[in-house]
Amino acid sequence: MSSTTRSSRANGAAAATDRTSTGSNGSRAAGTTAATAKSRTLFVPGNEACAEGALYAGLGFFAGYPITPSSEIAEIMSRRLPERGDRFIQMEDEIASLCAIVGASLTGSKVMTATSGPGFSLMQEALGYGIMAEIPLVIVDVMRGGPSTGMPTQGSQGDINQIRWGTHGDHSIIALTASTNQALFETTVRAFNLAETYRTPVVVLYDELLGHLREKLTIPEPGELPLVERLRTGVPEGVDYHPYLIREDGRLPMSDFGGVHRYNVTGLYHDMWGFPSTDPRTVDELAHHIYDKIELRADELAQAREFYMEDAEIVFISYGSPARTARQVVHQARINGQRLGLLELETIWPFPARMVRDACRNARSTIVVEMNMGQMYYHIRNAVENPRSVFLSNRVDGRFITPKDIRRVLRIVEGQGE
Amino acid sequence: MIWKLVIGGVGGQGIITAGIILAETAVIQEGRFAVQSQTYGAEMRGGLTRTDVIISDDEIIYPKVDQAHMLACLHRKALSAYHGMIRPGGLLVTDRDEAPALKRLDCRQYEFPFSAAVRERTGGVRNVNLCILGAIAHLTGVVQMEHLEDAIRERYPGNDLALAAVKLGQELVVDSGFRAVHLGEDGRTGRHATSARV
Repeated sequence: MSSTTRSSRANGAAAATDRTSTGSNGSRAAGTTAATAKSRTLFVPGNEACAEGALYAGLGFFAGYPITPSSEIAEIMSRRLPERGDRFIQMEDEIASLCAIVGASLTGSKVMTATSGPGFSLMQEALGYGIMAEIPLVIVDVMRGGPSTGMPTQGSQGDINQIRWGTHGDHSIIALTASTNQALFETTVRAFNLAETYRTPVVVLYDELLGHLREKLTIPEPGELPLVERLRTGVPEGVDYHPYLIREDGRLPMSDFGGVHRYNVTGLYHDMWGFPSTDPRTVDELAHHIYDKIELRADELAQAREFYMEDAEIVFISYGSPARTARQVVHQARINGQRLGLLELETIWPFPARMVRDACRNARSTIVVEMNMGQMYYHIRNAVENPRSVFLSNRVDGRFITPKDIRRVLRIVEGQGE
Repeated sequence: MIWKLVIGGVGGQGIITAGIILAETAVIQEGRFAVQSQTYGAEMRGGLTRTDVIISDDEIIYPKVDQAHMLACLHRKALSAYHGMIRPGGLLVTDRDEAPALKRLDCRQYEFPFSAAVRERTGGVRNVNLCILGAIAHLTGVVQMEHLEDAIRERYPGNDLALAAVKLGQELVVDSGFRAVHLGEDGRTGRHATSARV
């Protein structure tokens, strides 16, 4: 099988997440170590792969409120974090959960919370605070059917646009996804690296199917995946530390809150000391900073896996577990001689517009496969040169999208009827 | 080769645990690939429950079972709900008393007295799920019998009843005189095995 991983370097962070091309059967590099260490090969659900990735990345604090289908993450953390001397708190709700990890992150810990759609809705206010105050956070959203309490035990990909636009005001955010447990582990590690590098909330999102799907996971040796540690100020005690004085490269060294420096943190527009400001120049600079530090790096942050894309006449674009269905269709079609290809997005936000445009340039048609009413479809239409060549293959009834569902759309697109 | 299996029953019978053990045997003991997923209702006991297991020598792309090479049922409710999932000519393994086979189905049907045999041997109905695993492993060879036993030993250390249940499942197949069945398909080409021996 032909498959390659696209990733580019973004400061120290992407070096941490750069993956080599996948092997001939599409399995990840970690698969090659499976035989060498039986004890580190696990058979676990996606939620556990995510939790293991967070522990590998150096998670030091988790606050959460259990919600199906993400509860296993909190359950695992409640056991594993105290075992290694770190903290777990079960909060009274999701609002408090996100507020708790904001505070813990400022004190110097790598932090995470996990939730699903209804809880993620409650987190929007504190998410905006995290963006404005530039706090490294990792938020796991295991998507279930919505809106509202929707379908707790059924999968969906309905939170795509909420992640981007859920909290008010102009801002940007990073969101990553994966379609296998091994990839989910690596994606979670990458989320921590990006959160620390860019001082921003990063959302790891996947759906109920992957959250509960058990499959092989090989835990890499310590050091096998590079980790990004927080950039801390070198300013000693007694010297003025400016928590929000932006360096030339866009980065802001941090100082552990409660340590040697006293400073202010606020959700209001603020100056270099962290105190509220309405000075137009200060506001303008900060507004551009929190937006540009992510949006202007969209190409660097973009990561995807490609399958049979070299000569593809019809391109599928998908992400998360539905990408596995699309990949099955492409794989089978290639055996039958049809020139189909798949671009599996692993970076959802910032939207990888250039990567999508390039992938679709030579395609006769593009079919977006997702489990919502076309949340990513509209962004892809906007990105390509010929929006009329983009079609949607979706499913929103809670059942997992099947190869048959996709092939039906393919037939219609190709003018072959249903 | 790729194998797609579904085990169905009602909540409390250990159906999902059986699916996990079977898939775990392939991954941990045999170094192969497997995925396991489940569907169940909100009830703690008595609700319809099902686990899908795919075992393969190569990476598994599409993780769900739409048509199963083998369906095993431990309850008649599950059999009537899931019999449509069997691939034509596939294999149906049921509990003789709890889920009598439906004769009109296009599949090879094997009834075994799992519950009765376990009750006779141990006086209870615990471990019937492991008994059916022993039968599946011996009947289909989807995992090696000794590897399944190793998985049971690691999962339930010192639990002789668990191990005995697996062996009992194997004995039931041996005693029945049924020959081993080979049903997988080539994962690369999607072609069916040509070595069916039934």
